[in-house]
Amino acid sequence: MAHDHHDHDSPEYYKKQSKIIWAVGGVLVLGTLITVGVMDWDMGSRAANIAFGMFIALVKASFVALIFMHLKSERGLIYKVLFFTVLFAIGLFVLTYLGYADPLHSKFIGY
Amino acid sequence: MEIPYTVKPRPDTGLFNAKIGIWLFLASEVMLFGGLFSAYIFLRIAPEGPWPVQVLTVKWGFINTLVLIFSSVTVLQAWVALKLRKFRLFQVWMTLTILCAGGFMAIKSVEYADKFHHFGVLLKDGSSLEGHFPEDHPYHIKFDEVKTVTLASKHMDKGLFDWRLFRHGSDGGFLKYIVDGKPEFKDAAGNLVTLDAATVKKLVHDAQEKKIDFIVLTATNPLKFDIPPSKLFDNAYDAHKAHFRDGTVIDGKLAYDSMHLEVDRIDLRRLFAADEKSDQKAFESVQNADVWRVLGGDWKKKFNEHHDVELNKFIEKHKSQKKPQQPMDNSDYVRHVYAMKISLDDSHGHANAAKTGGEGLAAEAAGDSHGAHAAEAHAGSHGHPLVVIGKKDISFWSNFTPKYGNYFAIYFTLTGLHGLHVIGGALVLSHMLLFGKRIYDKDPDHLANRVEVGGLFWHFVDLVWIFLFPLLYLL
Repeated sequence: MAHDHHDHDSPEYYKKQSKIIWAVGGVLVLGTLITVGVMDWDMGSRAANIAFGMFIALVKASFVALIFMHLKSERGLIYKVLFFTVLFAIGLFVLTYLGYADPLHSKFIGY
Repeated sequence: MEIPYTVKPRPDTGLFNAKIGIWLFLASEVMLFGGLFSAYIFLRIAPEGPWPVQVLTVKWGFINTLVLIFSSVTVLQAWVALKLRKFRLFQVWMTLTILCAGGFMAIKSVEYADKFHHFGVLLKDGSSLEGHFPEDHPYHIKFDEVKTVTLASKHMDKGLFDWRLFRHGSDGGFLKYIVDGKPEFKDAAGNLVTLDAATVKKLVHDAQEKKIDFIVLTATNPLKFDIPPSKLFDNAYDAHKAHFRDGTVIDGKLAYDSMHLEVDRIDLRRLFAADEKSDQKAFESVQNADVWRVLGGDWKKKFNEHHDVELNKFIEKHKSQKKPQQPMDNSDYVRHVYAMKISLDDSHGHANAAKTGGEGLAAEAAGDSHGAHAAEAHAGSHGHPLVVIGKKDISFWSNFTPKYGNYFAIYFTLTGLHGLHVIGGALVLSHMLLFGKRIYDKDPDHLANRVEVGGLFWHFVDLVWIFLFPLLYLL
């Protein structure tokens, strides 16, 4: 549903969108092929493979979000909603990490 | 009354109602999946044991990724078709989208079924074997000379709102597992009783009325039972008794409880510390592993050769580095070497290594009801060695379900929830396909808006899978 808000009533605009959608689909397939292709490359550690795999996933997700979900030209209210969503999601991940690292316990109990 | 802003956007926000609604919903979805992804990270950075990597079939995950990408494209093309006022074309693209959803779930069900029939067996020392039960020899517990059957009839307390989570008393299910002999019994008063499910239920009901907790029945002729372990309480049997899940107890003689397994992988990584730095020490610590007693000495020899080959390859590959990486610092090396795939047709020319134990199964061992001695592996039916594992050697076993470990717990939670989203999305899109014409005839943009919103949800489903696929299948 990629569109901007200038000429989105013209048939030409939607025909162009149709082509863009196919092109992005191609990019997503390419990203998937790269992810599968490099999964067994020796990058020094599994962590490096994971980081690379997640980077590709992030690129693919960006294409889906920006083009397919038309976030590249969305209204301000949606961005505000998403800003707080991302903020709370990061908080969620940090809380889980704190549960693992247990800094209070290690600081005050000493082991 | 006409609801405002269902088609045209509200002037101050520039958005129609459903658009705001779906984004707020998607925000809550981000938190839902965020929590589960967070749990995944937590489990992975502090795993209970070696984290399974690449144990899923990449082929299926890859195909499903392509299916979802294609469906994301088709749902958008359906929206474009509506904007171009081509309703027939909209129907074609939307049908393709829904077919993709069906295909995705069909592949998922194949994957799930595969996990349900794939087993892991942890031996007493921590080493483990993975594989399948042979089709002609499922894992059953066999009892001979069963002379007494005790039906449970104790009336359990009523639960909340009079709900009962568990059956209260024997239901006659055990009768299905009699493989030799007729279910003819004498009750305490000496009356002859022939059991079927209805008779059992009546006996139990009558006993409950009289507040009798157990009904002891004596078989007129000794019976033989062949029982899947899932029908018994966990390991609730010994040399003389077996306890069914419905409370029924049989008394007889345990005849056979060894497990037959076609082994496709062994995992020795629990035999040394997770932070072990010395490959030599790790190698030495696996030399007396229980798996060699089960698989036989030829497979140990094969493992040792495999270790040497992989170690040399690793050293050769890293020797040009300024400070060459140590093998045990590379989790891929540790996994490839110490979680070795087992196949009778391997590339190292040891295809017959497992076929040296003579004819038949050494531990078939009638009279070895507790699997007291080790087996030599033999060719199974799917290119994997077939072994027999005595119960005394097994510390824990399960199919690849959440019970087997945290990896499968988070795998089923994440993919199960994702699958429910696929089904939910497909239902919503199907509604638009089947009942959208009326709205389209009234105002095509109204249906286009609905498809746009449904499509946003569908892209979110795709977005989640973009992260799930590499995390669960590849990395």
